[in-house]
Amino acid sequence: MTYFNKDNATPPPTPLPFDTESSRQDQACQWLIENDLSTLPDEENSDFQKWLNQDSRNLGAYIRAHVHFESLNYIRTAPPPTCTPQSPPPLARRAFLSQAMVAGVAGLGLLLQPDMTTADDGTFLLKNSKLLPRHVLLEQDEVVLDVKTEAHSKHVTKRMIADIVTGRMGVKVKNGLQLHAQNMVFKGDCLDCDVVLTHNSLEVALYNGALTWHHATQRGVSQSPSLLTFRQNPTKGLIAQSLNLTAQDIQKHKAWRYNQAIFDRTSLTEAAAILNHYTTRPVYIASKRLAQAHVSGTFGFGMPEDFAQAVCTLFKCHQHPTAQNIVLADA
Amino acid sequence: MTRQISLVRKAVQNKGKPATTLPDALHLKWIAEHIMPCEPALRSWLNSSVRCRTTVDDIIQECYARFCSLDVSGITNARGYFFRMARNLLIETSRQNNIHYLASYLDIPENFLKDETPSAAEHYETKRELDWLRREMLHLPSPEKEAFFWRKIHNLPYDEIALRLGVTERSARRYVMSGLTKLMQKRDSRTPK
Repeated sequence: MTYFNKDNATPPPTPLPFDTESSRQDQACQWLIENDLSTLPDEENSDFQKWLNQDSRNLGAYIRAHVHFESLNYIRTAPPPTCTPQSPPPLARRAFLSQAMVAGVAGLGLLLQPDMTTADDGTFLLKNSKLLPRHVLLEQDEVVLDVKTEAHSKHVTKRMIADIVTGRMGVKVKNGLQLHAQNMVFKGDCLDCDVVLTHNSLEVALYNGALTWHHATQRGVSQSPSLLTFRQNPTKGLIAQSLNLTAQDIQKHKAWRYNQAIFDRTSLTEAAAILNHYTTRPVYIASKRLAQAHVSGTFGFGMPEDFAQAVCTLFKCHQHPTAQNIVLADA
Repeated sequence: MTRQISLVRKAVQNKGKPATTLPDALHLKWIAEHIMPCEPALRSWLNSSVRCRTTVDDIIQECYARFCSLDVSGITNARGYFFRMARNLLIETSRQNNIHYLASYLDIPENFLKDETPSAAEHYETKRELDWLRREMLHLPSPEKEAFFWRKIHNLPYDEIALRLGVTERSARRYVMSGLTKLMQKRDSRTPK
């Protein structure tokens, strides 16, 4: 057989499907690639199933090869060069392969740049373990970190590239922003927004600017002011919703940046839960009547005594303060 | 030699018998995001601990097989879970080989066992690990590198890769397989920082 690859003296690796001399992991790689983008014929599929069933380590090796292979997936950033059919002269083929590699590297570079963050390249690890939101100024861009929030950020030619790990982060940028949250990417210029990432949902409150968002299966564009929520449904995949925000809504959403919470007919239980994030002396509701009551108003963070006093005045109840907490109960 | 059999704290409630059916895409994604990046650290720890015919590869492969049948939705610290599973497997197989470890010999660094969501630093290390693997693709020898580029960056089918490389489809698959094998071998021999 004649091989038309760049180096005609290099044959492809030894044949499959079941090279018994190779290690278990090598066999797993072989089976994985045989299964990649194809359906095995019945006989080979039967061999594959037998191999899987033979030893639990075979399954483990296969899954290991699979996740390694999948982790090398990239999203294509540019269409590949057009393919020329077989049998051009050798010089043209070398040039074609070089072009292909350059296109591949360019594509790789475009995608790798935001991901190739190392500790030495100016990436900041932002973490707020205090009891109040923390304001940070990075290259004239403002970042507000809520309590128990962790994120990374760096600037590349005045553009902020941030990655929120958990919690709530407010961002106000003068130039461009590229924000990563789990497997979603948000981009925009001159943005003012809050991002909240919990273990089962992602929410973006967009106060100013236009935001494009991108997921593996969906894309979208949102204009301010709006509230975007993203949830993963096991059967339907990503569910994205957008709501308009009124001026009052914006004020309510942004209040946390100024160490405040604005409640509007909020249940007392929920209000206490929100304020308890910002104190080491939480307020507990020990009354069914109080738990079902609703409260409106503005309360400062880190002041549980004031909140407790206000509730007692409003709802005619008693407070039982200790060093560790404040319990609100009926009179 | 003093024989001490350590009291193994059962951190794993469901050992999970290995499944012969492959896990679904979401499950595989979880394994890829939470387990795979922890492997170099675990491998490094196992390399210093394994003293029987069981190899480090055997233990790690068995762990992956067990993760296939586990309900992973409740696991908050995958790294700790992975380490505990490997340690328990090591103890099990060592006993079969009549090797008993001193309790302190199998101490896993405490920060790997805490039941907490991984910190930003750990998340950051995870990303670095994945980035390293992708960068190593650039150092594959030809023609595996070209085959990998077409398959992984441009997501081309194998018949088209074969056309571009001027080989058969079977050969194109071989090149990708060879590239994957080399990357995994490089990763296995890498010492984490």
